[in-house]
Amino acid sequence: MTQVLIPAGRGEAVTILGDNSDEVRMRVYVDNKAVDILPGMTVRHALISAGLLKEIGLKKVYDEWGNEIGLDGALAEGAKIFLR
Amino acid sequence: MRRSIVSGFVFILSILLLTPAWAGQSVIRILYLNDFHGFAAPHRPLGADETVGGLAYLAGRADALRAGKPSLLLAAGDMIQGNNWANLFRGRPAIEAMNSMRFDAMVVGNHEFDFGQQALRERISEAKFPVLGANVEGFDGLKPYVIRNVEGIRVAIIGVVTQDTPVSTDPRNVTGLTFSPPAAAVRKYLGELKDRADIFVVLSHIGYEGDRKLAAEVRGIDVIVGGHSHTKLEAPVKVGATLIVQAWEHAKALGVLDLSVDGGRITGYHGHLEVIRPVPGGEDKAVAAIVSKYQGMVDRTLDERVGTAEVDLDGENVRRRETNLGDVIADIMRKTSGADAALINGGSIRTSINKGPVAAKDIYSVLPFDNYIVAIRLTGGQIRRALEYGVSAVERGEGRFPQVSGISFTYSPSASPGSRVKTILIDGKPFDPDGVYSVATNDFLAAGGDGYTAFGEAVRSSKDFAAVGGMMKGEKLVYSDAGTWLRDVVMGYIKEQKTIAPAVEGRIKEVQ
Repeated sequence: MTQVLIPAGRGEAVTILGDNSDEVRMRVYVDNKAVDILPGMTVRHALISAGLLKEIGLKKVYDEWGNEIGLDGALAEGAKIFLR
Repeated sequence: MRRSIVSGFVFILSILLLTPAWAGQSVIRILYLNDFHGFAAPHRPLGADETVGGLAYLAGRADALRAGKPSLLLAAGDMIQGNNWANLFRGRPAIEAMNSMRFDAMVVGNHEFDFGQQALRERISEAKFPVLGANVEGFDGLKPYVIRNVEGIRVAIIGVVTQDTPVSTDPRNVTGLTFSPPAAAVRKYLGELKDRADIFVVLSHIGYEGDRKLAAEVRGIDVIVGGHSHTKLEAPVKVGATLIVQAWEHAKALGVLDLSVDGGRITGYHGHLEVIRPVPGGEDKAVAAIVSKYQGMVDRTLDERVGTAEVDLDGENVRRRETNLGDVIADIMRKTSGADAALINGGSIRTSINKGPVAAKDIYSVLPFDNYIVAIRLTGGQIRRALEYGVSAVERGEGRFPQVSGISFTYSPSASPGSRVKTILIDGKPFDPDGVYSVATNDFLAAGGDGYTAFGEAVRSSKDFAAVGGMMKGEKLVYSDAGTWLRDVVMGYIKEQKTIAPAVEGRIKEVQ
């Protein structure tokens, strides 16, 4: 089995869980619904995971401050995005 | 008398020389671009009503906005990778165009590492502007900061990139490098530079949320020019005393920030985004020539023969049965990622390739989507559920039908969906429902695309980020290379092999 070692990310978002807790995921929220994607994935993946990618074209994606964001935009742990 | 006149002249000269050049109010214009990703040509984004972008048109606007004004042109990362225009030449076109546009500085983005460290060194050596990365240790080509004198005002520009870089590129691309917390790097260099500059700019590729945190945590930053989150910040946002700007993505907009400076301090600001439209006559001719030159090379490259298929490669039947093209693509994914098995949805394979010469454009037609390889550890039970889902709509020929490598299985199409899969072998051995296997797929399925839930289920079962001894261990995530499209991996494989003749191997068999 291959194992990759990657530097801890996002400063304070990193939770130190101990030697046995070695799993990776990123939880973000699409229209307030939690979805889990892999670190490094983008807005596009969050929408796929939420089953909402097909809405693009009719709607745009915004961050929690109301700014439009691109589908290839990076997300951070706990990010909240909205379609409208 | 004569002596007193000379003394007076010397005195006045001394005053002039000692007075800071910024005495009195002036305006500095900062123009900025981020997440260009090689989108050199005007294009119509999904869902948009109009064609936007075009690097030559953006350069034309930058020329006009800089004319007669003290200004800086900055790039906030992810410039050299993404579109074929940049990818096929490992980012060289982007640097050539940026040189022509006379950029003042660029911060390295996570995708700048996608072609490997040697390619990045080459791009940096070609750049006529400094490439920054204050929080990257172990890479000699990057500078932590640069100080620009803009009409007597000293502007320090410190560059930082996301710590997530290692999870968004092939791990081999960042071997030996350490990405330290951006805030610590910025603090360090603000301290070092405090007496050497008047205005402090952080050129950041950490995303808008990260920029807000950075502004809140670190005092002394005047402006953050950001990227990574592809955020369309229509106007500067102020967090504490720090202005944050970001200019969307793909050269669809150019950011403009005017800073009024008096006594070496910012006394006012005004900023906006200029949406770039391909207005006839609005292009920078030199940049247009560079864009055109490389587009011609892209076209010729796509026409180039990369190998030979000794048999027809079947992409027509990938939604109903195992095909030789499905097999070879799945094999390449498994081999590239080092996984135990691979599974890809037939719907991601869009057409066939006829026996004979294979051109790059043929492979691009087969795999037109910007997908990359991800490998995740699944339990045997999750693999079974994935296969069950994959064959659950075979009678309708839906895109979910799987093409596999390292796995062979039988299924009964007449059984009820959800109980069709009969036997499963992994690496030729009966699979263990409780065992754990690494499975390569594409990022689309890994995110739950085409209705596949097994990969998402595996991700959900993970705990939060875990830092152990300063490193995060990714046990579930075996492989992820967001910087290399699957089609380019397949093209590289065929180039290496020169000739391929895959056969249908009987990995997927119908039984009654």
